[in-house]
Amino acid sequence: MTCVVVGASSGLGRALAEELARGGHPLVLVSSDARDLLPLASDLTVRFGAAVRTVAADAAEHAGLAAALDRAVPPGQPITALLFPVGAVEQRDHGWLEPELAERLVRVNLLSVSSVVGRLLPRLISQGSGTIVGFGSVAALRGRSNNVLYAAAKRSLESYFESLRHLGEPRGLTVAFYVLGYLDTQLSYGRRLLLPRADPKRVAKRVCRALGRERGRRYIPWFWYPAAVLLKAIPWAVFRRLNS
Amino acid sequence: MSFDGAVRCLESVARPDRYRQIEQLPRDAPRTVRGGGYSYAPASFGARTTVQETRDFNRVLGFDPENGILECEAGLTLGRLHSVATPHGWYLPAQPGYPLITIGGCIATEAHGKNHFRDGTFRRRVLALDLFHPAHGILRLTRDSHADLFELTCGGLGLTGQILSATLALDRLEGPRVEIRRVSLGRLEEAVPLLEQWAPKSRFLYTWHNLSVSGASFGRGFLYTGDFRPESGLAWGGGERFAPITAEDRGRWRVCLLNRATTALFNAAYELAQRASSRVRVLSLFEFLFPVARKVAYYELFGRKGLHEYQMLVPVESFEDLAAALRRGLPRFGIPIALASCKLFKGERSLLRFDGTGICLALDFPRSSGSERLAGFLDGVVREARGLPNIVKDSRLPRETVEACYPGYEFFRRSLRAFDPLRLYRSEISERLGL
Repeated sequence: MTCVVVGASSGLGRALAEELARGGHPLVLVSSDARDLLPLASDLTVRFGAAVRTVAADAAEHAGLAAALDRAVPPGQPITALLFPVGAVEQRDHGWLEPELAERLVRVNLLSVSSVVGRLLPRLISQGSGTIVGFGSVAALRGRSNNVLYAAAKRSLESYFESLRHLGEPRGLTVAFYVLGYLDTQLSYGRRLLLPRADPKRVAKRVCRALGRERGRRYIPWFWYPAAVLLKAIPWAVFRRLNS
Repeated sequence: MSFDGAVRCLESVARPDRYRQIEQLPRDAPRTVRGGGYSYAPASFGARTTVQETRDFNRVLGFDPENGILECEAGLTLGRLHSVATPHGWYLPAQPGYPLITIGGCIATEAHGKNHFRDGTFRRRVLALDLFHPAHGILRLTRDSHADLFELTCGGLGLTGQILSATLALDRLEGPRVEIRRVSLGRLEEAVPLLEQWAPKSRFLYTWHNLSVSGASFGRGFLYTGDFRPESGLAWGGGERFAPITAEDRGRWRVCLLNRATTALFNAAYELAQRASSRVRVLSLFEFLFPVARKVAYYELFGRKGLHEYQMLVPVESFEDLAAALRRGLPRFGIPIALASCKLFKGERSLLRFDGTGICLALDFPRSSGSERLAGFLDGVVREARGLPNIVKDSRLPRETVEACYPGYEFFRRSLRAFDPLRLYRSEISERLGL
């Protein structure tokens, strides 16, 4: 019954937590700062009567995070879903990021997910059911001179989820990977963007509605699918002239 | 843009969604806190600072359904609080009429409802609040701990710091619906005796006046008295669906559709419709508490230039003279009064709060070339009547009027500077009023 949300305290993660609580799921919420996590847990408990446990852990410290999560979901308690709306960007991610910051980007965007999945996968496999949901970004569709390492990590994550699907589906698991367009969050606030922003609440509703049923790679909002096909089809000679 | 359409600014706006982001601004950087952005006057921008929105800090931190005590973050909207509290039989009695206004905004502006004579202002509901200021950290304010700062913050226009959370005492609901009874009144002056006559037997009380008619029946209209209607078997709530509006949406029509002729027509039509309808109406609590949710079109009629809402609180004994001054003075300006409404206040004046005992009269009129002169005339009328103009309703209220009307002005100003010598939290209001 339990759903685990890693990266739960803001943006899409918070919207997912709210939507899952509305649906009556017991929750384990993970975020780096207890100051954000505890108010969210209280809110979901008061408004939806949800049973919420919290784990305050830095996603960059992925091994510790995975161990803490393993402890937070007692053995024998079935895990319905693992959702990973976790991520980090760096403003100066233009190609020559300091090694510590570069490593942090990879740890948060890729290794936090793989560590938690690695730790909990045996339990999911022994259950014979469960859903794992990852979130990518349209920023990783083509390599650009912006968000260089972030895009690389997210593209790695997509590859990781493809492998996970290959590994998990024959064992009864459902693996979904959502490539997200621009979301209306603190990160995109005030920026001029090419395509409209999606409301995280609507995205969360969409993801939760399809939880356990939808598998493979999907684009949200839907119009990013044709946009992705087009972007990927642009020849390099043309693409390199495009701004950022 | 301010909700009255008077002030527009381009400023740097941040939308933090984590506590550490609130603290990320340099410690000496001036800032403005913004809740829903529904204040008529620019209380949440306009000082060329970084504006910090609070909309993502909207969580319920705790609720005791036995005793009606609710703790929440300051960005929680009245509508969401309503949806949490009413199923348990509780409601917030002192609140303004739009569901997207935030709790922080209500505290900072010392908001009131249609029941001031019974329930006072918002401050009465606040048991404790957490205030953040870069120089002081997070302080828990109550009537016993940091009592002076608690007093300064309630109705402090958001200038003492950022309200992070509040603990509120709610009231028991006595029924799921509100029954409203209509009583006719023949002229503006009749508002006082009727309000006082109905106060002991009413939960909510207000009037509507037609100021488009001249002569003896100037200000004729209706008194509305409301109370809970005890009914069993009915679900709490109902009518919660509404279309959100922002200050920018409000001004989406270029033209103002309210001139003297159309306003007279609208007022006459409203009067006729009221007389033709039943004297008693029953509304869901949501519809009653948040009338603006269903009437946003009214504000759009004022067009891009917007409106003035002049809200004044005058002693009961001055109201007759005030009505006479309006009867004589208003026609000189040729500005249509789209809405005139009175409420009964029973409270105490202090600091910069719109509180005290008397009659609260609100006048809405379109913003135009002559409307500033009319507002200036009303400043004079209020001063003459020894009354208070509401600071958060008026984007042009001059400092000298506030200084003259609010005896607590200087004390507020000095106390604020003693607490925050750098004066980090600012707004257009604080700059205009020299705070």
